[in-house]
Amino acid sequence: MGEGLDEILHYINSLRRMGISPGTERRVLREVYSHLEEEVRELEATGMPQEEAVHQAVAQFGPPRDIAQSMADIYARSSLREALAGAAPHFLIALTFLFHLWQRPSWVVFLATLTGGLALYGWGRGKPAWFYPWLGYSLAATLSMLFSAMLLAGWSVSRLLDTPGMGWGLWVVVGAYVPLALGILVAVAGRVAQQDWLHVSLMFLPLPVLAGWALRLQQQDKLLEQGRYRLQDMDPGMAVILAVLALSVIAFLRLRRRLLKISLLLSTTVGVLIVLSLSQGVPLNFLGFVLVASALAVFLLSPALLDHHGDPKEEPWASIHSEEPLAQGWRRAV
Amino acid sequence: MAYVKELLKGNTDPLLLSLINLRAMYGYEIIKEVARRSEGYFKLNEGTLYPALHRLEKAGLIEGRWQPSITGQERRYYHITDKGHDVLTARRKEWKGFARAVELIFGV
Repeated sequence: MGEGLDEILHYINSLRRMGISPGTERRVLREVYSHLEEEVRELEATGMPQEEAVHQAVAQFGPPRDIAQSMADIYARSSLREALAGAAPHFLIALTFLFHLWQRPSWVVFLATLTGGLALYGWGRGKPAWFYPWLGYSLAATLSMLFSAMLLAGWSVSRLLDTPGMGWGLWVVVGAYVPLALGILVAVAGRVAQQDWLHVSLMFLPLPVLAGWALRLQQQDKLLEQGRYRLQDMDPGMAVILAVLALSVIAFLRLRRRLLKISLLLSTTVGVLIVLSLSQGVPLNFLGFVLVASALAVFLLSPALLDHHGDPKEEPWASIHSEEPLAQGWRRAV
Repeated sequence: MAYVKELLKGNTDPLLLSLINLRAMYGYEIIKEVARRSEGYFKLNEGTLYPALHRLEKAGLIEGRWQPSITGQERRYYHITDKGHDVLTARRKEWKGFARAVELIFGV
């Protein structure tokens, strides 16, 4: 294979690590490669030697560092407006807890409609970064509604069969719900991770907090036995936690470096855990704290496993060093 | 020539929207089309084109899709969105007003 093509490979490799999502980076590299290969082919058709054609095509793109920097400016950092839009659901839910608005069905319906509507809107409009927190809350609402519906169905069946309480029916419901909920979570996360696994982490951010709140209610039987007014004791703490999440989302969307974004997510988790244990009176010793913090960190970073790096052999420029004639290799590659 | 370069730089986005509004195009095709339609007056370079296309895409004004070209090879074709169409209409109107005002002062 012609040595000139090494220059293309070198250029493509220089463009790597733009600091943007791996999926977007692959898309940009593939686009640059397809441009270079078309230009080289056209120049060769005019009788220009391959090496010179490659050199000219690459030179016209300019320094790879400039392109990489421009792409990072576009994709790695959101505008302040987008960042505020991404933090808005956390602020709204924080206000819901602060003013005990969850007791008002009209507010809950409004919030659910707004959240679901914006999540659907964002999904249909190219999944902008601000929409992931909205998607996270929509997912939480969908999963809790699904659980309630299944619980109601289980209870109705128990009544029909004249079984006291739900008994085994509860286990059937839980046994059916867990894989179903996990399936929904993995399916949505898989789609989101096609763009960037960090967006899945952003989407998952409120889930441990909401799950912890629900479990705490369950644990203390406050919801069913002590009346709704005792539930209000937990509200200020939840409002603080959600405000911390909101600020964290603003910083996350404004940061450019991925490593800083990941560090921010992890430190937010630790911060939330501290506020949670102080405000909710959850007794956690040092070991317990480390274990819970580690579990939350693993949960938030687990979407990285969904990231598909792609087979390097399937990258269009993989054929550059193959033994095939140039045009044939390119045709196969793209 | 530096003045023309500056003018082109300031108008890259509406020019791209205008071209993509005619039909879906991919990067290399856009560079050729800019040169052809301007009779060689404008030469858009790759280092300006691709960041501009991606910026427009992120703003939701255009949408890129991998599609086979007439040669059968996959190319990333950019399509204008409804939002992009609205922005283009507004930019054309602004340009008409601006160009008319400049012409009145230049006396051309």
